[in-house]
Amino acid sequence: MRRTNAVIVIAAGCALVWGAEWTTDGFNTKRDNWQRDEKILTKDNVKNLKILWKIKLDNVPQEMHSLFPPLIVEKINTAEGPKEIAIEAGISDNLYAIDVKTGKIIWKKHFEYPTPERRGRPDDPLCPPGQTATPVIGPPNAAGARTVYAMAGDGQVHSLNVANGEDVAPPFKFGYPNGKSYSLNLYKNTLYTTTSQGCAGNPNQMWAVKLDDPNHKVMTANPKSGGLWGRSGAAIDSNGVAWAPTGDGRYDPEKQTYGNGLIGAKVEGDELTIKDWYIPSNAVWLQKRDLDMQVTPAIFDYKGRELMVTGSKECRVYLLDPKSAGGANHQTPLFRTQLLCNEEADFQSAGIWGEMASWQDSKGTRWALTPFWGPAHPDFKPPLSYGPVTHGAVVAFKVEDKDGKPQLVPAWMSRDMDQAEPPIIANGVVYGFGSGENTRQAYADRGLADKSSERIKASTHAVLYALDGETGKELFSSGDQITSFNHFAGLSIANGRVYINTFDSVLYCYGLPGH
Amino acid sequence: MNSFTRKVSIQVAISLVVCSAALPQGRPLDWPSLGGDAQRSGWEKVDSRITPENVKDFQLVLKRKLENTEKGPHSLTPPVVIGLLISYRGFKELAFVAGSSDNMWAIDADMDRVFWHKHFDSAKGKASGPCSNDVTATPALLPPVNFAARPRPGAPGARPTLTAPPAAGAPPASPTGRGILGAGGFGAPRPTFAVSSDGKLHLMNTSTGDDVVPAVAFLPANAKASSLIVVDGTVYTTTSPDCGAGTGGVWALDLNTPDAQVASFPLNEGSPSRHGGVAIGTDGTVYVQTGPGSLDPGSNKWANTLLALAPKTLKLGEYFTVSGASGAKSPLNLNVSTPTVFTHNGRDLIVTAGADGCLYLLDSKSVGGSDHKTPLYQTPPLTKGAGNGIWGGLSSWQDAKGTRWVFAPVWGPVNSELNLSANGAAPHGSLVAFKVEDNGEKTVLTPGWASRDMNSPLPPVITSGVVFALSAGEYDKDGRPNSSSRATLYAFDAGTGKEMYSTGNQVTAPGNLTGLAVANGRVFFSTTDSTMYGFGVYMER
Repeated sequence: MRRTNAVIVIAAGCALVWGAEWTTDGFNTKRDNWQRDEKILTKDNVKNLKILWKIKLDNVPQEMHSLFPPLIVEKINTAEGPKEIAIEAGISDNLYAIDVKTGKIIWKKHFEYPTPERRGRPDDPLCPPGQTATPVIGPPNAAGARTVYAMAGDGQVHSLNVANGEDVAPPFKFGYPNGKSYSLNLYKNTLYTTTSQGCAGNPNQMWAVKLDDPNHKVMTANPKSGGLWGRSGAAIDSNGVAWAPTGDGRYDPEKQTYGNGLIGAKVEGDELTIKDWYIPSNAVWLQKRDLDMQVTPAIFDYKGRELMVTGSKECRVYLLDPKSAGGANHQTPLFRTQLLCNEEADFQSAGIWGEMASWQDSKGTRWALTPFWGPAHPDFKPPLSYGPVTHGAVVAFKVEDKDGKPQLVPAWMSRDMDQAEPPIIANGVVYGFGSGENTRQAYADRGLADKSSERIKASTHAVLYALDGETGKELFSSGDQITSFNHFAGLSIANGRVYINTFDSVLYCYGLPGH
Repeated sequence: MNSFTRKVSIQVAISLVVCSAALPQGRPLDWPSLGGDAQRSGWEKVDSRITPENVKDFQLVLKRKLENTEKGPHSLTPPVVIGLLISYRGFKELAFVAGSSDNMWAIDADMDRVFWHKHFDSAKGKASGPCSNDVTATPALLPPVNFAARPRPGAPGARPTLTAPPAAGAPPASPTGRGILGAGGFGAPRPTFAVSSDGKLHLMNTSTGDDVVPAVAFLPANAKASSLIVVDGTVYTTTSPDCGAGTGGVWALDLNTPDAQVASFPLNEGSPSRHGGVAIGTDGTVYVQTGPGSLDPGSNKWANTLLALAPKTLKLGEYFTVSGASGAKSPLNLNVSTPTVFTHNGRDLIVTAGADGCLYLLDSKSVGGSDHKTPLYQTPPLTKGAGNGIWGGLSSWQDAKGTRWVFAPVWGPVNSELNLSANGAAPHGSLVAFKVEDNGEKTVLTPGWASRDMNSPLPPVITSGVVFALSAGEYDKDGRPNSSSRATLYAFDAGTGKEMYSTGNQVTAPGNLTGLAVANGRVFFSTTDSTMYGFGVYMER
């Protein structure tokens, strides 16, 4: 009896060990990329990561896009019993539900619609046709069912049962066909996305729609800029203000023009209204050299107040207060770092791209992390670094007070990574990756000539890294295991499994054998 | 179209319009040649970055010493500027400067860094004196593209692309048969044009400085080529007959032809202004003012004459000769200026300086009248006395009311007979301004103002109603600078000559006698110690 009771207790304890999900790009609505519930992978065992499985999906890449960061949700009651499922979106309007234990497809959905009139120019990586927004999984309903919201390339949002891929509600229009929406965010039953580059004639703006609005009225906020292309769309603070970078453009507040900045917009009634913004004081310089603000911020708690960090192609990190992003003049951050990279002031292959990350360690230290591309700036010398950085790296800052004001103190810079991409954190381990993507857009003999075909040909392969979150020391590298590159993809982690995908539509699952 | 689509369509239209206008304080501007345009106006028409209100806050924004072996008043040319080049190292504003020791630099104008440097490996001749081995010609760029106009390839304003010239006897490399400059199109590489001391024309990749095609034989070696200008795919310049027999002339190299044909108009006497050389009319006519010497057309001696030559072929059209002009030459080439051309009442007018120190207003329809000696209008001499005169070139601007102004840099005290509105005593020299006005049936040059005192003023540049003029410092009659003197950049109200800004003592050497440039909120010039300066609107980086 005692032995049986012990087994029951152990089993219950094991059940309690589980409980990690990754239901949205960037982990949560604040886009902090911090998996709080990871218990399996640790600093000590992550060096033993292996490919548990990999699956090649029948998704056709479009331009340089292929697959998006998978969403992980557990305890889904499928016809074959409860399962932990990875929802993987593909650019060619595909949605796959994959059993994370076996790597097998449970169901697949392909969104069908008449070919839109307009699409981006062929061979232009900026405007791929199809599904470009990482979906989002909502909370369980009363029956425990989960719904994934996915936006097809025709701009329609589909609401699907995660268990079987069936529609749980009619699709509704949220965006413009081939309009290049970025990752969906779901906050208090309202979906958000952002758009950029004017793809297929789509305006560059923030979008919102209430799921419980029978009319699904689309609300928009337009900063009149070149595009809101933060990798994971908008990050939403605890007051419901959605923050997104605005990309290239002019700054003219009298004309409600907020190029080269960060805007915060909020749904009030049935309108989405820009409430606040931050524009760097050197915005004219940023625009002149195409060093735009284009990084989804990470929002986090620090000593009882909410803060956020964002970055730019110029290669600085900005610490902002969401309650007053740029102060009274909208141009005064709490803190701005020196240049971490991009001494050349180049618009390509350099600077901070994508999104930020933040976590708090067990000692209560708050960290902020950024990736960057290209060589480190010669004047940037963090206390810990691991060799010359020529292609990119992850940099970690501690958030600390000085003279009563929070600031970002450099802690470490990772080893060199081939186009370092946004990291995620779990259980004290930072997971980063080099995409291996060729990011060149201009050439000595031709000037600007940004072509998907050339860049795909010149790309190499992605490499997954695990780093000690407090020191940046490399704990694991996938070396040559991953055979293709990725573009504007991302990582996910839950329950001891780390997911990364590649241009050739392969989803890799790394973990510890036997766990 | 449903309401959703209609709303999106409206927003798309708005965003596209806004995005097309979304540029930092105005669109990036080029300064493609000495004087800013083929008419050598010196006028940047649309730089909204500089205003009469902010010019007083100008700062030193660029100071870059370049390693040019030779120093002196022609060590560096003024720059030509590309306002936006999407290079393989990012978006750049680049200033291209030639150095007299066969050098060429591209300078990142925002970051005050040398972007690239090339040294022309040219065969050196044995010329001595004023024609010793030196590069004197300000480089040139293709004119900026006019997107609205969508010109035909090869038409004025078209941006040709480049292909390598064919080997001897081979068919043209370009499928269009257009030679070195092929069909036009957006995104084509933009070369900068430069001449090395061996007389070869270089088409240099603006991103790297590499020759895009092998250098093309163009001019006699060591012939003091004047500033280049490119119009309709043809490069124009002048050389001095003072450099040896057969070296003087007006030159045109048509890059649209498969074998890059060179045309020339020989000048055996009457050296053109070394400063700007030619000015081009809006119809392509090539105007060049010659200097002292003798007039004997049969011997190609065209002293003291403004020539009007046909585009590309340089066939002589009309000409105007200043009567009774002196044959004396001066090392400084005073009163031999590059003319300026502008449109007035629907036709081109030309203003040039005569050997007698007067300004002459000429009608392009009949440059010198039937006797080749009759101008539309002649001013009194702007200055008098030996060693005084008009230097280098003239500039021109049209104010908001439509009044055309002409500016002349005068070395020496201004002739009091002109009754110019003075801005203080100016014993050493000044910038003077005239209005072009219609007086009954006659078009005249009405005296406007004279600036404060300036030492060795250069032809000015103008933008936003502000005239920028460089006082180059003390120069003796032989053209040698007093090394302890300093150049000073001034800004004047273009309508009154009132001083709005001065660089004071910030510049630490005499100015080069090569000229100024203005682009994107900055005014550039160089000094005799081979330093390039930029003063302008501060931009936080």
